[in-house]
Amino acid sequence: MGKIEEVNEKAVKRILDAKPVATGIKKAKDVIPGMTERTLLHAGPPIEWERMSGPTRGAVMGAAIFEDWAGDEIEAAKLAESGEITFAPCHDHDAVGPMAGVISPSMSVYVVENQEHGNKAYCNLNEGLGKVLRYGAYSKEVIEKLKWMEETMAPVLAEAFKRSGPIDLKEIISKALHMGDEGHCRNVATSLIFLKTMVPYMMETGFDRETISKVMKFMGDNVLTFLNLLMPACKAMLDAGHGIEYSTIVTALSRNGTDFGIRVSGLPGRWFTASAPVPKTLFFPGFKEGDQGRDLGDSAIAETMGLGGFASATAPAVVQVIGGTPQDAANYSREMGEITVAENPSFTIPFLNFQGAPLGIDIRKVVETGILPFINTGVAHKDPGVGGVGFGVLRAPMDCFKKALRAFAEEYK
Amino acid sequence: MTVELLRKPKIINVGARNFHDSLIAQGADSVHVDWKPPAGGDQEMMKLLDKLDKL
Amino acid sequence: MVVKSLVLKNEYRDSIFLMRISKRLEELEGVQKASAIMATDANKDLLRDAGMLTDEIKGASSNDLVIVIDAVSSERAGEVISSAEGILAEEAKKRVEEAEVIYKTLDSAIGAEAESNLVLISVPGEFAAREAERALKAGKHVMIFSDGVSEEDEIRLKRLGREKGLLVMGPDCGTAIINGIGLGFANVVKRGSVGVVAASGTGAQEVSSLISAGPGISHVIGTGGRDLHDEIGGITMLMGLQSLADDSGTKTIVLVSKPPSPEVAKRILKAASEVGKPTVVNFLGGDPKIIEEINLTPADTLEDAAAKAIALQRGEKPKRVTFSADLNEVKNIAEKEYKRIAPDQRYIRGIYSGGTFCSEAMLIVRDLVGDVNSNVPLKPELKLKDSNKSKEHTFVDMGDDEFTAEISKPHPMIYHELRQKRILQEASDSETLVILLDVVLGYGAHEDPAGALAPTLREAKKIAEREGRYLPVIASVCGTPQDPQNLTAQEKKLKDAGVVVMPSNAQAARMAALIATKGGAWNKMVG
Repeated sequence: MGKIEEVNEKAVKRILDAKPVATGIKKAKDVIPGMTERTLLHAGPPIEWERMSGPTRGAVMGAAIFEDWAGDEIEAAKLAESGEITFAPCHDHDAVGPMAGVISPSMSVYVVENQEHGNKAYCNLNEGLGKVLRYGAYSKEVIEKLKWMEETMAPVLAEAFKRSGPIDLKEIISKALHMGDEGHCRNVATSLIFLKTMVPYMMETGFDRETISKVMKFMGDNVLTFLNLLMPACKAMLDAGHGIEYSTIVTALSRNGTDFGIRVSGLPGRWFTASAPVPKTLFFPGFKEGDQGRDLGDSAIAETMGLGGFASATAPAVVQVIGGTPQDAANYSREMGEITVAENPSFTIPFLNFQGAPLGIDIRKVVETGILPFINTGVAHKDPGVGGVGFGVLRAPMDCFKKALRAFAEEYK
Repeated sequence: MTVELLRKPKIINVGARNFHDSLIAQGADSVHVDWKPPAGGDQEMMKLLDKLDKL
Repeated sequence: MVVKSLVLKNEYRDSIFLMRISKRLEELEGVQKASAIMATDANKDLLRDAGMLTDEIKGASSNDLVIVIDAVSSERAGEVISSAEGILAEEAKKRVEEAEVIYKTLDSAIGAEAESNLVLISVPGEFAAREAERALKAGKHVMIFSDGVSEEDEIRLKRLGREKGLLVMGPDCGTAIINGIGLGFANVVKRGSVGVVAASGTGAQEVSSLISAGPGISHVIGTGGRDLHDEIGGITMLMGLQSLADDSGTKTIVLVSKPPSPEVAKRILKAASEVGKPTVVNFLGGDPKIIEEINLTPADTLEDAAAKAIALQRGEKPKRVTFSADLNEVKNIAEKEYKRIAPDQRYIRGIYSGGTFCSEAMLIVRDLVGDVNSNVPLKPELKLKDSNKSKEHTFVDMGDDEFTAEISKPHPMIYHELRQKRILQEASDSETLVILLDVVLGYGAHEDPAGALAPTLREAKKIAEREGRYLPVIASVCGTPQDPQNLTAQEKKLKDAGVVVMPSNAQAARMAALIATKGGAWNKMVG
């Protein structure tokens, strides 16, 4: 076995051995390393205000209003242009955020810990679909909901976590894959399992029944509630395999609406970027071709972990929705097997005879075969202030992998 | 090793599909690889890949 | 509203599959309701409610598959029921085809197919060595159909294979038959105990096809055209020889190659003599004496090699075959052809798809008629300046790289356009006396080569006729009656087009020589 194969095996073992558990809810500024009073984290590779996409700008402006740094979007934009706000990728601060992925200092975040290796990962709470901050909306309703989540939902959940103890996230994902979820666009089963787990503990807290009821309804109505736990779980697992010399394993696929970036285990501290593709989209009523923005979000961490598009075969419904057949869904999972080095025995796919989900994207295999990671994703409107327009599919851009391969060959002569 | 081969060939066919089809028609054990030039024919990338193979 | 049913005892299909069947049946004309279902109690209740529970179904068990049709008439119901089993089989077959896994890379195939033992490579030449190396490193034998692989790569691969005890058949290996399975271009041959190691694809094809009519073939191991060059040293022929030596199913061995380097020939003959099994050696154009000296059996043509192998296998004395048919008959056929030749017609034009056939024919014709020009000549001074223009006696190997590579057309055994053009070109040349062809059958070849060539050959003869000439066409068909193209039907198509069909490449060349010399070569041939 070559040196790289040997090392990749070690990296994958660490990823598989990781045990991500949710331990509680805390404010971003209190737990996220490197978070300052004026930091806004965002999804995707590093990006300056001038180059930010519409939805990311929208989310930045909304966050500034939420934090009371600005009264409206005009003030917020001026503040962003002035350089007073420090922008940084979530990923570079042990965090992940879906879609625009903006995490501000006062936002509550889930705390996820990898009990095997000790590393942590953080993510904000999911707002639901439609006109929400992460899709670039910043209206009064958006801000009000964020405040409710912060003032009411987060405290209830935080208390519940104190009573429940650590919640095994890997177990929830394993089960849900046998219930029609793929972990990115379909988190119906994961969210249900999480809700039913937390309900008794929420009931035990000192909050009044009406408050608890509202929180439970909000979580129950949101089919993506668990996405914001699945993402940091995946990050915690993949980070365990990051920073390993000679490894060509991809530890993050991530987008900010302008650029698509990847992180590679053997090249820590570096991003390899290319223009973010426009997803092939199935639109919600009222939206049409041309409305969609470029690919956005840290949620492709799911695909990086063998879920989402890679596990399409567990959720044929998702592919059918965008015009494919159940056989197509199975084929995507098989195809992703060509560019990965292992199968995940914890995340199995019933339709493929309980084969493990394809894990460990190898940049060499991507370049050699020309097969690009297949991603299922939510799609935002290209302009700030609008919101989500539908769901879509796309392939990661080849250039990221070629750049990474060049850098790798340069680094490891 | 040739003994096993001569006893029962189990083939991986890389390239022209019709060879695989002929094998199946004969009742042989064959799978097909829908081969494409590595790295889409990108010479620079192929050189890098070969270099890394030798590490 | 007539209800008819069919019970398939102990047949199980999953419910989704059965739903597809039900849907298909319901779409047929005259069918009001249709159901394909397992005869469980619950399903029987459903059928009762739908008025479709026949007595036959009542008596069926939950392990039985039942099909029930409610159609407009008794006749129609009966028709649909009769076709139901066929539809079941069709849908099941579709399922299997959909489920076939196709890999995108050799690596993933190797990863998934742990029991595989041979990788057959037919990718463009510049990539073939890379794939072959991967296969060898993964512990698989390799057959490289591709040509255009460098000699350095071939040496490196064969040394690697030898180190690991793995066969490297090729590059430029078109034919192998392993335990009855034909790889690449191969004929369907009878199983028996004659083993062949060949540095020539069409050579292997003709030898194995002829032996198939006799005791039959154990294995045919291809080595690729360059194996017996000095630099490569016959690595694969030696390994192939050893494999046949170790194979209890092989009792007689045939070695086939174009002239090897003397050093390599010596090594191979020594190894062959140490095997201890009767061995026939056809080193085209080689010296029979050195072969006889170590008690092996030399053969000067492919047909001769096959005949001698058959004889040795049977413990008979090998006979020399000039023509298989009655000699008078042969004389008559030749005369019928050459008496209509116009005075200007002087030259034999061979248009070959198999390189070894071309070379063998040139050797035979040289002795009987004179030197032959070619794109693959026996002597350098006979090389055609322009392979597309014949000069005097000319035999072209249209399977050679220069024809297949330059326009990236597939081999003339599959793709006939080039040969068709050349045939018409020669027919229009007033100096062409006779056209000589090989037609190759078997897996990998065109599904109807004679059908593809016959119209062209008819036209060729018409062209000659219009210009006051007569154009004989001689062909040999390399194949067996079991080949997919049907040997007899192929020979008939050619004969119907006026072609003289001979039983082997060597005999076809001799017939052409006989016609070209207007019978003059007869004594040299049979004497």
